[in-house]
Amino acid sequence: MVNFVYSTLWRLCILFIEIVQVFHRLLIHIKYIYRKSYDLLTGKSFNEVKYLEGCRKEWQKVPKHLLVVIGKEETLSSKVLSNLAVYALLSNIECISFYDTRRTSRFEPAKHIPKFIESRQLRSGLFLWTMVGEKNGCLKYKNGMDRSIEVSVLTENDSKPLIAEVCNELSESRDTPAVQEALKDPTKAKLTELMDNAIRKKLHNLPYPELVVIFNNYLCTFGALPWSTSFSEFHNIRKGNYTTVQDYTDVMYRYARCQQRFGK
Amino acid sequence: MTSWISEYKYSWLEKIAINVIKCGNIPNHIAIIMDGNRRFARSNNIEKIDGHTKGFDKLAECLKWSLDIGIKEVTAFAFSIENFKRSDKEIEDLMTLATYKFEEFLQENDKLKENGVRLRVIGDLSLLPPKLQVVVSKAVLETEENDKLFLNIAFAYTFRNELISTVQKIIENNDSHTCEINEELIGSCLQLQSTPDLLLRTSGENRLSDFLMWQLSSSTLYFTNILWPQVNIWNFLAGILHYQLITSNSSDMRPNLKVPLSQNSQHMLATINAAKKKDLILMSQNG
Repeated sequence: MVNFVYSTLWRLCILFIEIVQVFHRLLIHIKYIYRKSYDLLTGKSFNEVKYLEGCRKEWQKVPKHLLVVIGKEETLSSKVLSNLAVYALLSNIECISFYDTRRTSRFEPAKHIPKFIESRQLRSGLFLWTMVGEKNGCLKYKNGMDRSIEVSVLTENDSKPLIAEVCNELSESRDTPAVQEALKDPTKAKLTELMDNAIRKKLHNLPYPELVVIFNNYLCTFGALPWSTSFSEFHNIRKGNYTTVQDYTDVMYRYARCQQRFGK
Repeated sequence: MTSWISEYKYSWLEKIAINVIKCGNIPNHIAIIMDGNRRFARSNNIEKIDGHTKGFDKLAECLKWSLDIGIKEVTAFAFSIENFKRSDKEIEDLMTLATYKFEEFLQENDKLKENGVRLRVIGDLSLLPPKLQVVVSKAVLETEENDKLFLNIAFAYTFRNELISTVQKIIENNDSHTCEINEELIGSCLQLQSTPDLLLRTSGENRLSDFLMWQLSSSTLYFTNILWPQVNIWNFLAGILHYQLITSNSSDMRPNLKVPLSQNSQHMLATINAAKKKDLILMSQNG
């Protein structure tokens, strides 16, 4: 009897939280629809470029590399992801990577290119997106300079299997002087350097991501680059296809506020 | 003297809350980044080391809550290799505190046996003062028969260091290149081989700070703004409830597929584990 009461209380508790979450999601939909209809009725669209320029001035720092992790069950359109790359470009971020864990409908930078972007493949899985033209008259930049961002797509093979691959390569070359010297080094600094260089090389020499944005219902790394994200900030966006530029700037503000201590 | 298993007295409301939470899916293994001891000390005008002592007391409470809720394994990040960058005074104080706490642990052997607590320490023990190495090794060996609650303390630990040590051992043991090195083999040779279901990090930082980067790949991360010494049972239960909400909705929480290791890999794993135990025995005999 007592157990039945506890079990009922637990179910009620979960039900209550789920109802709150449903209302929260509903509110997100309503806000999104309201904004879209306002733009449609007034004929003015929200100037994301100007808004981002304004926010950018308030951020004390931006990451060099933004890693976007897409959860297994996330139904996220490629438009949202390509918009995110454009926001990153406008925020002066040097590279953005998409770690897509979904089995289907993965993001493809060669295919999902937004307007005013010219895409060039640098290497397999690595693209350079450049802002070109000013077709609607609002994308002019100082000195006529074009802005660019490196866009890469990573899969689960770039995670733990990549570390195992590096480990295999080191094992195969264990008789070389470099590896022998690294194995004898009691501080492990040389072996760390060998591993680090090999991992970086396999990941297009991208810098370590300082910021990781996870698109998923809950925070989980999904095993994304365990070596490279050791000191990254993890933030979650749970709005799926209703993600707006404000959600992106919210994360950027949080990132700009945080201070890394690196153990000190 | 503060016990490793706190004598926490529950209020009637807390008792009800625990019984309610126990009706849901309880995580087998939780990992904790105990952050915020120094900020707690600053905000309360006490010495840094007193903040760390309060932090230890909180861990003891947390162990008591975990035992009562039915959590089987707790991994706590106590000291990072990066923390050696702190002032000499703070490091010395922390090492003295740790030695004292592990000595207390040895004195509490009967109580720990009664509660079935098994201690494991992960990290590079060679970086610790010799006296602390001896006490830690003794405490680990003393409780190796217990099996109700596994308490893993990460001391002088970073994931990169753990991975590099593992890679080094694998390469050294792979003389004839007969064994293919894959993620399963690496995962099995790490110091901590089990994967936490839930990670709690306090003090509002949204980082993992090089803690269990490999093992946390499918864990639920729960970050809270509260400083570690201020955590109470309600904060702890909120973390568990967060996990329960996710597991009650998600069909794919544990994506890791266990692939059986080859015979060569099993042999390598056995050799590495035997070497780890031998190191511990040697360290404990040095005293």
